[in-house]
Amino acid sequence: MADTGGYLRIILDGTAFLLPGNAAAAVERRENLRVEGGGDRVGAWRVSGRDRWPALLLDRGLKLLRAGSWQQAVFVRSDPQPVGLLAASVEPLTELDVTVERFTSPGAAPTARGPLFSGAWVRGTDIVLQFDPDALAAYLSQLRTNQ
Amino acid sequence: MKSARSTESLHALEVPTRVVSLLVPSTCVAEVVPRSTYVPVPLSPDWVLGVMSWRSRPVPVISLEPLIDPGSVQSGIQNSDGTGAQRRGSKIVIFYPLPGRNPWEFFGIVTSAEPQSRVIDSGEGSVVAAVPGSKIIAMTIQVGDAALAIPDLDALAALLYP
Repeated sequence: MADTGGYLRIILDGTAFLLPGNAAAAVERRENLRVEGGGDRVGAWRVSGRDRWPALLLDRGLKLLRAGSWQQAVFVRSDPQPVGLLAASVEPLTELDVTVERFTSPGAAPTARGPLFSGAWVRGTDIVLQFDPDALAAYLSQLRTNQ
Repeated sequence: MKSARSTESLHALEVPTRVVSLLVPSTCVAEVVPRSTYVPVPLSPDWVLGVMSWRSRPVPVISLEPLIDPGSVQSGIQNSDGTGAQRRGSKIVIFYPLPGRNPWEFFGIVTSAEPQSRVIDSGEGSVVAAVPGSKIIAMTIQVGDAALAIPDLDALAALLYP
């Protein structure tokens, strides 16, 4: 999958987040991923030919989990290769479904690519934060390499 | 006969926190709203309590106490019902974006009690002292019985948006 628009609603540990659809290199179901034990930070891999894309499992606070329930993965475009987020579900939404307002997280950014969130979808008192794709990719890469 | 000396007034809002009461120009304040639920913002500093909906905008809510006095207790810790209404009269003061910032960057500050409008006449307040160790308080002034802290908005902007 390589969505060209809209958003993906990603459920992590019971909490929803948004990702712009065009930031996703692929969305995969669990059965299409390779799960390897051994204490690595990577929860699963997307293997296609010589390409191996890692995917990480995070809690709602975006801290790394060693184990937990997930059904899908969304892989965020990144250099040199996409890096993935394991989720309970990943649901595509059109731009008609979602209105994202700009949002700046106060405080120091967790990555050199800036704040992790750049927008939010507000519905009444319910708010869904939208990831900044570059910052999310940087954060996931950072988590993977900080052994 | 009209006095040659003119008196200028500053319309301000007293914003109580657990550490000190701030005095801010009313022109900085968009609205004072009741406490409501806010959604956590992952990986934020502990003084960022979350994000709330205000006029269909996402507005970050912060507790100033740790920024004024790192050893202090925050006003904004939420109760189990998620409302955070731990003290009668506690409100959220919605500030306009700080000078030089983006037009969507409103932010809310949790108060420890009901904010009060004040009209300060020129010459009414006397400077008490600078606040040592506080990065965001420019000075403290004595107005009547109250010591009120004047925030350094540039310093606050530097902390919020480093």
